[in-house]
Amino acid sequence: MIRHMLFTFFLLLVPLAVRAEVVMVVHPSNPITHLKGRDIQAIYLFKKITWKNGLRIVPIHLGARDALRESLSKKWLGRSLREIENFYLMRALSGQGQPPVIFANTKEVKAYLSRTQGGIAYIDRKDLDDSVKAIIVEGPGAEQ
Amino acid sequence: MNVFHLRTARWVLFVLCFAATVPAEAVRLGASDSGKDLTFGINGFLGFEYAYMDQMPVVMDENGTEVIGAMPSVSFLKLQHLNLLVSAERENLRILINFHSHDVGLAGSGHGAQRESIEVQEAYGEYIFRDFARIRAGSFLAPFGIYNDVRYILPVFSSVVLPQIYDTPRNYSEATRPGEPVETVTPLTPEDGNFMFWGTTGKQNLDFSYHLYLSNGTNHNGGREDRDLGIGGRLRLNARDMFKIGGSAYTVHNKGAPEGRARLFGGDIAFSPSPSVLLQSEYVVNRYEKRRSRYSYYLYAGFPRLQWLPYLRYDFLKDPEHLLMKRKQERYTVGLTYRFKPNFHIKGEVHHHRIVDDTGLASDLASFEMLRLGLIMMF
Repeated sequence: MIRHMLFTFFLLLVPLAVRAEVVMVVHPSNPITHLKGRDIQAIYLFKKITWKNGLRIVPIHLGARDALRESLSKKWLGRSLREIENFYLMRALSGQGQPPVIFANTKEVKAYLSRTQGGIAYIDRKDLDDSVKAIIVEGPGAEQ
Repeated sequence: MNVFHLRTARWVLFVLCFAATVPAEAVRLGASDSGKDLTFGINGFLGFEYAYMDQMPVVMDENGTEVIGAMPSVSFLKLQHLNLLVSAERENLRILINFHSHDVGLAGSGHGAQRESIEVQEAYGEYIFRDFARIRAGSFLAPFGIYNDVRYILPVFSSVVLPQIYDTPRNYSEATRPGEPVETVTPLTPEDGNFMFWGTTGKQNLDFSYHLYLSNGTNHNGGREDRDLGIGGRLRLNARDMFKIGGSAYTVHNKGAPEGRARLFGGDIAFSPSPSVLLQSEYVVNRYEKRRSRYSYYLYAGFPRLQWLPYLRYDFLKDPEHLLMKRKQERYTVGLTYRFKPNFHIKGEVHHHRIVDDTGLASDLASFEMLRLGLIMMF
């Protein structure tokens, strides 16, 4: 009985151990080092569209079913994936701008970000390398 | 606006739109390795509509005299709207062309004049200096009220500053021709804009947007008149996406317009205390130098829940210079939208209309019903 309980306990721990940690990343030349939680929301909802130097912000997304994207939506965007998708579609249909760039995996995200000066994306911390620059996100996110 | 009559082109556009009806991630085409990517976006929608209209009062021309007559009940099924927005973006520059076609009749008892054309509804370039400083030049929908924010998807959202109008005019200049008798209700919105300076700025949970624009006036043929400059503006405050309030104004003196200088004012408010409640209202008044003012407003309450959106709405219009609308018209609407996919919506609504001053009107013309069903595919 105790063995069964221990086995179940460790099984429950497995998802925690492999849960991805979302890190916001930008192009290495971008002077920005910190952003606030609400800035992330403003960027991905296109309320903020230029960096301080005037360069256009290019928000980059993973596919709608990606776990990292779900984390981002929950943590900082404060809306469900469906609501976000609907928002992007309505925005595009009203001529306000194209939806964000979407890539299938982190490798493609980093490749695109490394050649897009105004880009911003989110990746798993374990995928960090010199091709992108991690930034610190301060303050409350949408989930608080 | 450029209108080119080309039957086959319309169907090519239809096929393109239909082929591209894919989920919300939009259709984006390639990029370069230069670090200054050029990206293309293609988005649009198709809207099919079935409508049944009761017998209703209309203004008719009888031997040169305007009289109120009765239009017999009709029903029809048609491809109402078909839009394709093509845009290109490169760094801070954006170009957009909006192709539009509607009134593609399919079947029914009463579809009369059909527009067999594709038009360029908008075509403009935009440069973004900063969030709070952007310029736009070309031809675009003038920002006036909430209406122009949602104009593209009218089958999904009821018309706003187009009271009692079910068949959207392509633009104000097509619908309003100064010097002609007022037989139909025309939009209460300005002509399309041609040059605009605008932007947004925000702090914490409050953001503010402004628009200042110029537009050519409209001559009596419905064409544009460079010398008759229209000037307009719009301000809007948004608090936490929960409370939004806006004001719009526009003035123009169209050459040869019997009404003289026109001054349009609008106010709008939206309140969303929770994701499942949206309360919204707009008021607009058109004042003229040599014509009595007309005004309109609506009240809207929507209750989105998962894929469902039930809503209620009340519209009012008074136009003292219009033979029928000077009696004041009310419209009560009950509607329901079901989004069985983010980009596939089905919508049904029932309207009850009432002519407030029904003196001398047959009772069956003083109030009448309408049913509309729509299927909207977006991509």
